Amino acid sequence: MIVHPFTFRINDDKSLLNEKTIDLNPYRITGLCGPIGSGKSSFIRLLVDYNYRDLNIFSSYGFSAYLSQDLTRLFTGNTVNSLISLYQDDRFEVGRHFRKKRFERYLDLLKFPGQERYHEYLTDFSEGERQRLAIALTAATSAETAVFDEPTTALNREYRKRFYSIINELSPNTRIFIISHRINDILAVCDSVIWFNKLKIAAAGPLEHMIRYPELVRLYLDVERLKG
Amino acid sequence: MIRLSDIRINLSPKLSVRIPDFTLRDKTIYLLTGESGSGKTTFLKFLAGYISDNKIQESFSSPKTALLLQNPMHQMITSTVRTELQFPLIQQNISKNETETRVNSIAEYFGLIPIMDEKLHNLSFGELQTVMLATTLLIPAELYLLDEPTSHLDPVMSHKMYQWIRGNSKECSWIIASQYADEYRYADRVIIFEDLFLNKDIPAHDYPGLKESEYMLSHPETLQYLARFQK
Repeated sequence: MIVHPFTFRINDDKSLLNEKTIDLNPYRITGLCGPIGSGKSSFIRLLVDYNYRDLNIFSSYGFSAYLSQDLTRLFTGNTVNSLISLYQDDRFEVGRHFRKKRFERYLDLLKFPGQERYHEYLTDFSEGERQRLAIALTAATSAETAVFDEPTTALNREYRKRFYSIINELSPNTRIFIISHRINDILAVCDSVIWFNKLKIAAAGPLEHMIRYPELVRLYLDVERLKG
Repeated sequence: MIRLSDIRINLSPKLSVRIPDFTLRDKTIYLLTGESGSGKTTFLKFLAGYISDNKIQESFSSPKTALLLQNPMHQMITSTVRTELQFPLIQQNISKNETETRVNSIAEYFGLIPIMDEKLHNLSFGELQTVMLATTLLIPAELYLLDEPTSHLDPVMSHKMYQWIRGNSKECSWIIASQYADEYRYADRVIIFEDLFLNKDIPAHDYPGLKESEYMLSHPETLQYLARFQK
């Protein structure tokens, strides 16, 4: 996948900018990093939202599995059962890509509550439980690209490790993007990083190179702050 | 401030969160930890009076609380960053000048000045979480209840939040839920929930287990980086 240079107008006052061609073909799992409001989620929208495909920012657009950082819209009014039915409904594109057995295996791996609670509304589950369900749904959707936008915010370390094992299992067949403010997520699974700052792609490259990038170092690897 | 004894908060006929014995201390910063689904959010909502149970509520007098919800989208009231920050102060009949001063001060601290007139629905999730955090901090309260306030913040902003809390903890107490165990170092005490049960309330320096920063500092890539840094 190639990311071409672009300027995308987010609204009247804000635009997202990329000045260089980025070749992601050598990589499988790319971390999208940068301060709050630097443009990471807007960039991902350009990939997953069909309305933006005419802009030809990416060299290819396959079907994308997408875990949004706001689970509210997906989960409001749904029970676990109704959500599973929705994902299996082949009138929607996701229904033709969803793999139920794989989904059940991931639910087991992520220790999601048992079927006796599947009739309950998702508002009755904790944020961590909802996040684990969303990871299983996204990872069980067979796609060329999978995007996980802040997937570990409500997960403890044990569940984050289980999430990493799912990512490693998916990566041979799926190109993966992960947005996270937890540098451990990036270090654990990513082979490359795109760095955003002030609504601009400021740098991109392999992890071993990007881990020395000064802005990334300042935000995530400040030794004094880490040691408290 | 509050003493809770043998409290049972019913979630459903079969499920309840239990608090065997807990004393909330004055002027104390608590980190609230535990697996997802272990009862943290229920505990915060109970203390904030969101879960009403007359029998329980009569057993203690609730302090004035301010609650930051886990999902910032559930807390938006007005339309722009500026009006959202002003809202709790206007509600308290704070004078216009004083409101302006306090809003500008906290906005400057959290780097919100450039987006003061942005519509809330145009913000990124992390920006929105910062706005809702700042708004909650402007509510005059004796007990601040923050439900995973750092989940979508970058590390610099998280650090700033705790510095702000440290600097403003003389008159109130704080209970801050987090999945990130290394935030214990900003707290005086740590509350640990397990399986819908408040299992421990211990001094922060006794907090067991591998801290996030230690885990991170043990990662080979990070170590390589640190080795270069320290040369």
